[in-house]
Formats: sequence, structure tokens, C-alpha cells
Amino acid sequence: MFPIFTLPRSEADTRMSGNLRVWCNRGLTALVLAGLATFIFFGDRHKDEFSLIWRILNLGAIYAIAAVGYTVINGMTGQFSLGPHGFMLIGGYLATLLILPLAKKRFVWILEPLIEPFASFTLPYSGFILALLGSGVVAVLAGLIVGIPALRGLRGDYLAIATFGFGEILFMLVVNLPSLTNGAMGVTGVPTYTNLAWSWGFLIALAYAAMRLKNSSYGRALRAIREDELAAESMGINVFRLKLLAFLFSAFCAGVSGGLMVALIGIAYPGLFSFFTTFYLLLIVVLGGLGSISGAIVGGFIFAAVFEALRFIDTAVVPGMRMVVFAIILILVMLFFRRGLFGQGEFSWDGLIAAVQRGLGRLSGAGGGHGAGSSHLKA
Amino acid sequence: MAGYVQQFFNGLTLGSLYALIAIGYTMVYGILRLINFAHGEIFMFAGYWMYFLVFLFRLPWWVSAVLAVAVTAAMGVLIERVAYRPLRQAPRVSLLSTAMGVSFLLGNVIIVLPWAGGRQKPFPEVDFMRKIYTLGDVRIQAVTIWVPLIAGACLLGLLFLIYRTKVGRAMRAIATDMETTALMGADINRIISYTFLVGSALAAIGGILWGCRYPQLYWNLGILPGLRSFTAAVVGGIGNILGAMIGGFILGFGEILFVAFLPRYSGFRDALIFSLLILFLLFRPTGILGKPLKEKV
Repeated sequence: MFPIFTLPRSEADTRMSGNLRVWCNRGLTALVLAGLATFIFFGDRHKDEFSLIWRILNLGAIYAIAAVGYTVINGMTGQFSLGPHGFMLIGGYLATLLILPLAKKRFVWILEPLIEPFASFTLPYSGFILALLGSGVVAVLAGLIVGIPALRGLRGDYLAIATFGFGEILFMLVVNLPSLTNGAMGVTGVPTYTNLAWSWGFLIALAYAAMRLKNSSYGRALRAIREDELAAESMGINVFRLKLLAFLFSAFCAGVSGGLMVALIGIAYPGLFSFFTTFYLLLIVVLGGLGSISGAIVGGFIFAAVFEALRFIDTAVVPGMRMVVFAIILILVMLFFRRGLFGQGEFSWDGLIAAVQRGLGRLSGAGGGHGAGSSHLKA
Repeated sequence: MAGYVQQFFNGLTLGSLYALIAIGYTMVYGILRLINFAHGEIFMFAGYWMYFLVFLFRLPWWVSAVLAVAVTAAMGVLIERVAYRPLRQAPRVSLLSTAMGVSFLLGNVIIVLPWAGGRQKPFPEVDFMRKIYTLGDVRIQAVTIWVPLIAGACLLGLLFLIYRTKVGRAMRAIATDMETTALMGADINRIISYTFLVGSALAAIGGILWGCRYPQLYWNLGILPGLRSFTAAVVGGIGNILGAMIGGFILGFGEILFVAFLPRYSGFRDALIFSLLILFLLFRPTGILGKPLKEKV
């Protein structure tokens, strides 16, 4: 018979406990998600009472969405992209065009009328999900235009420059296409549809997708590309196609994040997502650990909180000081703490479960005279 | 006709400035395979050192210029020593992230410094640069003659350094194969420091000349010239010093011609430059002079 059917007993035991651990992990995650759903429900109802916290939680989720995508291309695949702010800009403007009320559309575009078809329709609140998905899809289309030429070449770091150039070109287009974007004046009065349900909902969905990607054969191929492109290629991995896949996923996340951001702050203008945004995202993924999705999420929230907390430095001390602090943090993390918070790993409840088991073992050990260590292994 | 002559000198000036900056990118890329994002900020800092030395320390402009080049070159070496060297064996993304961090740090330090700040500052005037020569109906600013002359002298000096001295030979050797060069007994770290020293010094000279030509200083001055110069380095063939010079002149002349003949679209020039960059990456990623890079297994 095949050896797999004749596992020794001890090994079968460990497999059982592994399964138990997986289910404990899933159960705890489900529990936390349920708690989050309740929290989101009440959080959105009482947003006026805790407006600053509500805002930070939204911003954190929006940054985290873009960062999840960014860590897939930058960390997991090892391709240095500088383009997320461009994709966020595209997503933000498309969401604006889709959800701005008709009355506002006539009022805002004074110099040059808005082109069709956007001038004659608008999506109601129930269509916000379409607007956000549309933002992601448009960003993906733009990602195809940039990604195909930039990722074809052998040398990976050209992607950085090509995506940077794309961001700059996009900024110029936004300024110089007033019939679509209202030029440098921007668009005000975008309905503020974003709330915790939307931002956290998309964050959970996209993070779940990213986790599935990471743990699939695609994800392993992406990590192979990061470690050694040439070796990956000689193992039969279609390097170009997989890099493009990761790049497009990150573009989709950035597009959705841009749409959510515009619908949170209610305005869209060319400088809304500048190169600074990409720098923030870089800081977030580096802080969380390049390649870690949990790290990107935690980093996004930490960044949003610190960004708001340090606002006083910019207003009270010296404008620009905050950016200096962020830049120094980025360099220090890279030099002395390159793992970031999570390294390339992910958050799991294993530590907690093990601690609980140890605790239980100690309790039973006190009662029945068993050693704590052995009961940990038995469970 | 007069217009053409003037535009020729404008193109020559801009081209030599781009060439000076592009060399720094191409040298560092050739040796470390790193896009040194901070190079544009190094270039910008030279102008600010000039400003500080002339207006705060009341030094004569020529003393300030020499000191500014020296200090900026030292900055380049320091950045490599502190921020890049520890990460030399790290994944590429880590190194690029750090370079990005250094670039943002330098740019924003200018905003934070009380003597500089986010507002535009004047570049100290250098008198002999501001003269205007008239020849018939051709009016040529002295600066458009001096800049190509000084830049040309620097470029010749650089070519001598690279191809006729021991340090230059070591640089070329490292660019070809760092490990073997180390086995041959060359001090890799010292040579890389020299590379940053030379590249930053040239960028500093470029920055000071840029200030003479366009006498305003602002904190993000380095970004766009830096990127145009990087494009120049790619167009010429990244890693190739002569290519960077040629690319710089192509970009300088191209930009001046574009602005002169299509002034309506001058706002799109950077879009055009980036399109050029992407076209080159698509169809000729090794640039005009570059040889295809062999991937080492």
C-alpha cells in the first residue's frame, strides 16, 4: 500500500491537532468578524458622536485597501511599483463622475461642459457598489496600459520609473482635460457615501482575496519570482503573466481605495492623490512587513492614526515636519527592522491558542498532577 | 535665424545640465543596479547650499560654489554609507524603498529648515553669468555659453577619470562583476564611495549651474530635472557614461525644440518625456549605446 495510508499513530495525532488549530483559527476569525459587523453597524449609526475616530477608522481601511494591493506587487512579487497614487486618482475621478448628482454636474463644469455619457446619468446610493467596482475596473484597464510595456522588460526596477511616469502623465491629463475632470479646480460636493460598512466591507473582501491569492499556487509562484526571477522562469513559471496579475490586482485595490476616499472627503482634485500617497503606502507596507497582508492592514490603521495624531506637528511646530518623521521612520525600519511587524507571515491565533492551552494545561496540571508541557502537546 | 542660434544655445545649456545629472544615475545604476531616487534631491541640495553659504555666511560666490560642491559630494557619500551600504545584500525592494525614504527626507528637510522653507528662494546672482552678448540681432546670455563650457570640462575630466585612472578602471571592473573584482583585491566599498562622490559632485555642479540658469530655488526642484535626467540615462543606455551624456543632450535639445515650436503644448512636455522613456523601455531597453545586460545565474 501507499505509505500515506500507514501513517504512524503519533503523526496522525499531530495532524489532528493541526486540524483543530485550523478550526480554532477559523472560529476565532469568524467571531471577530461578527464582532466587527456589530461594531460597524453601531459605529456608522453613531458616527457624529465619535467623528474623529470614525474618520480615522475609515481612512485606515481605505489606506489598508490600497496597501493590501501594494504589498502584493511590492512585497509578495518583489516588483517596485510607484503607481498606486495614479490608480487611486483614476478610481477617485471615475467614482466622482458616477455618483455626482446631476444638478451638481451642471453646476460644477462651468468652463467646459461635462462630456457624455457622464453628463446625463448618475448612480443613486444603491449603485455605489457599482461605482466602486467601476473604479477598480478602470484602474485595472490603466494598469494594463502601463503594466504590459513596463513588465515585459527583464529588469524589474524599470517598473518603478514607468509607474512614476504614469502617475505624472495622469496628473497632467487630469489638469488638462477639463471636460472630463473640470481641470485644476477639481470637483466639490461629491456625495459622501463612504462609511465603515463600505470601507471595511471592501477591506475584508479584498484582504480575503489577497490571502487566497497568497496561499494559492499563484501566490507561491509570485514569491518564487521575488526570490529569483530567472530560477522561477526556468521552473516553468510565466513570469510576465504573473507579474501582470499581481500588478493588476494592486491596481484594482488602489482604484477602489481611491473611489472610497473621494466619497469620504467629498471632493476630487488633481493633487488629491500625489506621489506622497504612494510614499505613505510604501511606509505602510514596509512597517507591516513587505509581503504580509495582515501587516498591510495593521500598518494602514496605524498610519491613519499616527497621521492624524501628528497633525499638530504640522500645524503647531513646522509644516512638513510630519513628512520628515515618516521618511526617517521608513529608513530606520528598512535599516534595523527589515522584517516589519509581520515579516512575510500573516496574523494567526496560534499564539493565543497555544497560550490558552498552556493555561489549561497548568490548571489540569495543578489538579491531576500532569506536566504542563505534555498536556500542551496532547491537546 | 537669430532665433535658431539662441535656441541652439538654450538646448546646449539644458542638455549639458541633464548630462551632468544623468551621469550620477548611470554610474550608480551601473555599479549597484540601484535607481538612486535621492539623486535629484542631491542636485537640489547643491543649490540650497549655495544659497545658505552666500546669504547666511556671506561668502563670495566662488568660495560658496566650491564649498557647495564639496559638501554635496560628501552628502552623497554619507547617504551611501549610512542608508545603502547596510542593504547591499538585501532584496532589491528594500534598497529602493530606502532610496525613496532618503529622497523624501532630503526634500522635506528643506521645507522644515527655518532658513529655507517651503517658499521659493532666490538663487544668488553670479554677475559674469548674467551678461548678455549681442552679435547682430543675436542676443546670447553668458550663462548659455558658460554652462556648456563648464559642463564639457567636467565631462572630459570624468572620461579621463573613468578610462585613464586606476579608480576608474576599478569602477568599470565593479560594474562588470563585483564579486570577481573583490577577489582581485579591489576595495569595493571604497570604490563605491568614490562613485557616489563623483556622481554627487557632478550633480552639485549641475545644481549650481542650474541655479545660474533658472535662478529660483524650491524644495521639489530636484524631482522633475531628476526624472528627465534619468530618462536621459535610459535613452543613452543606462550604465553607460557616454550614453548618459548623449541622452542628456538629446533630451535637452528635444525639450527646447518642443517648447519653441509647439509652445501651446509645452505643458505636456513631461508627458512626452515619459512617453519617450516608456517607448525606449518597450523597444530598446538598452538605450542607444547600451549593451544588453547579461543576467547572472
